[in-house]
Amino acid sequence: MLNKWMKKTVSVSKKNNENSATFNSCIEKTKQKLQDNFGDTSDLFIEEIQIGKQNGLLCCLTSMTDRQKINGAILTPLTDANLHNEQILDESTWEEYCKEFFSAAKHELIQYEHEVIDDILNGNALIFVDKLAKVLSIEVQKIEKRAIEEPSTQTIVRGPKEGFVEDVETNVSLIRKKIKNRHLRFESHTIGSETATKVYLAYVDGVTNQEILTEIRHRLDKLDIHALFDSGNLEELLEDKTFTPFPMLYNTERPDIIAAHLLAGKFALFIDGTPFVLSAPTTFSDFVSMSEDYYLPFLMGSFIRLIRYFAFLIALLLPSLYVAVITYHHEMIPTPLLISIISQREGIPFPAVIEALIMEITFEILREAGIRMPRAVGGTISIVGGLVIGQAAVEAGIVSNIMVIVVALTAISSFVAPIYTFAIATRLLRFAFVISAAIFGLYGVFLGMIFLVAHLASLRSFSVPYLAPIAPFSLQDHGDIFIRLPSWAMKKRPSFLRTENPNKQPNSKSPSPPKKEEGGTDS
Amino acid sequence: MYSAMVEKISLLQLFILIFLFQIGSAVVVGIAGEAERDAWIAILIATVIGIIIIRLYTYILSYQPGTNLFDIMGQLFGRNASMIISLVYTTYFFYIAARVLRDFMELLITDLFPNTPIEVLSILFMIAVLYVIYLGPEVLGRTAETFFPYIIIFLLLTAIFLLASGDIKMHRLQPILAEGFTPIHDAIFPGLIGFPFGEAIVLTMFMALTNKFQHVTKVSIGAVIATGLTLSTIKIVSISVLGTELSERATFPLLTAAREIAFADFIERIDPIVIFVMMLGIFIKVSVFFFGGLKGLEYVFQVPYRYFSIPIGMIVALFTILIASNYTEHIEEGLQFVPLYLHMPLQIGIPTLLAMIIFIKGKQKKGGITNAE
Repeated sequence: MLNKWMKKTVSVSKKNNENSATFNSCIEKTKQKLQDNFGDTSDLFIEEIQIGKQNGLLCCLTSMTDRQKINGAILTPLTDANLHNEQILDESTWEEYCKEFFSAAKHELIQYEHEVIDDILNGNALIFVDKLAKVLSIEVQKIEKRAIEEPSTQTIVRGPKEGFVEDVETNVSLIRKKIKNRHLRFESHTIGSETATKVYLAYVDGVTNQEILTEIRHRLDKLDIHALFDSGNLEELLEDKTFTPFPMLYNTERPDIIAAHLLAGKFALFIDGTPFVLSAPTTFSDFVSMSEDYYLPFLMGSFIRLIRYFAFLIALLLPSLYVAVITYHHEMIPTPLLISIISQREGIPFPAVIEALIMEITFEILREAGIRMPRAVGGTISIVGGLVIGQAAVEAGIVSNIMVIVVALTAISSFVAPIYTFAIATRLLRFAFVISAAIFGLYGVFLGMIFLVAHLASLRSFSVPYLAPIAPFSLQDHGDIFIRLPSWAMKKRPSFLRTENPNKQPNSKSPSPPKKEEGGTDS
Repeated sequence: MYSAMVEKISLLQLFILIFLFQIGSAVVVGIAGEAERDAWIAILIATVIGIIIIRLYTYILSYQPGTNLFDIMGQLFGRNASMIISLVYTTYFFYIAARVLRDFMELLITDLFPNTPIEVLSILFMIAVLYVIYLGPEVLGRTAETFFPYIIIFLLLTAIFLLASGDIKMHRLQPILAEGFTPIHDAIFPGLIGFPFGEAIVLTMFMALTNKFQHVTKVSIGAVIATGLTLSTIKIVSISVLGTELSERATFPLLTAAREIAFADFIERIDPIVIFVMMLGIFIKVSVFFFGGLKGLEYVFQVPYRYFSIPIGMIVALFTILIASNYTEHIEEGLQFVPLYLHMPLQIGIPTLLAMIIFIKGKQKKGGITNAE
């Protein structure tokens, strides 16, 4: 409560001082003041009421409040109270009065004008009493939210199917339900000068590194942004480095991933109005792993993860390697294959790079169209895309068959990365690689790789190196990077997160059947 | 929390840097040609000398851990004298960076890009070096660390493929020591001492940046031993594949050896890939020399080294072409002039002098303390 109050005073001192005026005037003046503030907006509801023997005023925004809640939390107690017919002349009787009759709903007494305005905007109903400075604010918010559904991104076969929703309180409760630990903390922040969006900073006390928490609080406090609609807005403001195609904060719709990250020693940011929750510090390997790796048998989980790394490389490099080899290094291709490729390319009027760029750009357009178009015309894209662009282009002699295979394989591989923001980084870089391959062959591709690795090595997410634990190397953390060890073997939290408590499950042992000698009775 | 942002290099990164630095251009051009089929023995003996040299360098650095060679010279010789020596070293480092780059550029234009102007290739390469050095030595260390496993895997695979294709014929190594120790001696002095082992003088810049200086000596010696064994093995492989004469005549022995690979009717002509693995070694080596030179400029002008990186980087790219009019001249300089007039005084001469001064100073200090007692 104190925190919230302090936040508000801070935000007010920025605006102006006249907002700290109070409402200790008569009802008519108060009414006038409110109307001055909100103008003639049609959803402002102001009604004069009797409160005890005094005149009072009930004020709320109809668009933000729930009729039924107003009935239950205000009108019914008010009728009950009016039977007592008490006189409310000073603030202490008013306080007692509130305690006695309005304790069913969440309520609070406020007095400054800016608080009043903030509360009305948040969907509270306010009760003013004639000549009293204290205003009763009761929470009667209308909460419109969709049901918890399976997330539309990052789908999995095995594992929890619930996903976050737009309502931040629901999201918080989803995490609370998963982690029943009294050290789990949610810190409230309000961000956005116009939108006043609620943001919760979640972490596990005693696990998440204190310096990292201080840093994120500092960054949240110094934010100056007018609107915050999605975690993407926030991500761009909190990054250590903006000029990078790679995401510096992890985003997901899946509560199980966020819960695992919190327990590993990361913090999470819940933003009201978006199902995408952020977590950080994040590393390269986070974007290649998926919660399902941990739910499948560990051998399978490891295998799938290796496939994902391989797919990342294909999505990034395959078109450029093809262009480089076809243009400069034919001798690397075994002769029979080379002959078949050359014969396919015989009638093609373009060099390999133009062919690759045509196909890649076409595919990018197709992909964008597939996302944006109305659902009703969904079938069209697959017909146009698959048939016309693929088959017809080959038959017309614009591109070669092998190019279509290369682009298709690249496209499929780029869908393997579980996190969308990470997958789109490879889309952009792929073009750079294709062009450098066209100019300098494999030399260009390898120089590009050096650039890319150096760039990745220079990135940090909240002071944690992006390539950790590959560089700087730490053997202990490698049980969960390229492969996943069985869960009993992972006794420690990642060391690069510099957690306050490095041990996760120090006593876990490999499961084994009871020894024959001891359990011999039942056979 | 940004204490972690101070540029530091871990011991593993130092090990990898020393290793990749020393095998860098040594695998490209081939070393110890004088010793012919006993070259691998020459390399092993030179490794021992390499250990002594690197111990000399770490001894100098231990005078004041955390400061680099230039600062120590400044403290021992005074600022004016050390500024002149620093400029000599700086020039030397940039010159060797250009030489190393030239080695690789020659390889590229003879083997892959006969029609591409060498200037374009070298400028592009220097832009990559610039980028990494601009990001800092820490990033160079991490980049090396990321690529290291792939380089090792690749070297192993080359050996395995050569073995599997049946190209390795051990009898080509015999007879051992047919001509006695004279050729080995010729190969070691001064060739092998200066290149690759003595060039570690520039690595003192990185040793000074490590977070645990007390282990630097051990790690450096370990890295030199690893380098020696690797280079010797590579030499054995290339001699046993090509034979003495071909290995001697080949401009780039390992590359020629890798060309012999024909495995499972599918993996053949993998030399472009060999070149690009070599490229990583060259990249590390050029970056390290370039950084060493920039640090020298930083010491002399007292301006952060990043300011110099772009202009000096372009000068190095240009000098890569200007230092020699053709490859023969370039190699001639490398074999006749550089070892005697550059490597010896700057890698052995001045460091020995420094070490002696430090030793005497240490003695005096110790004597002073015992007197006080």
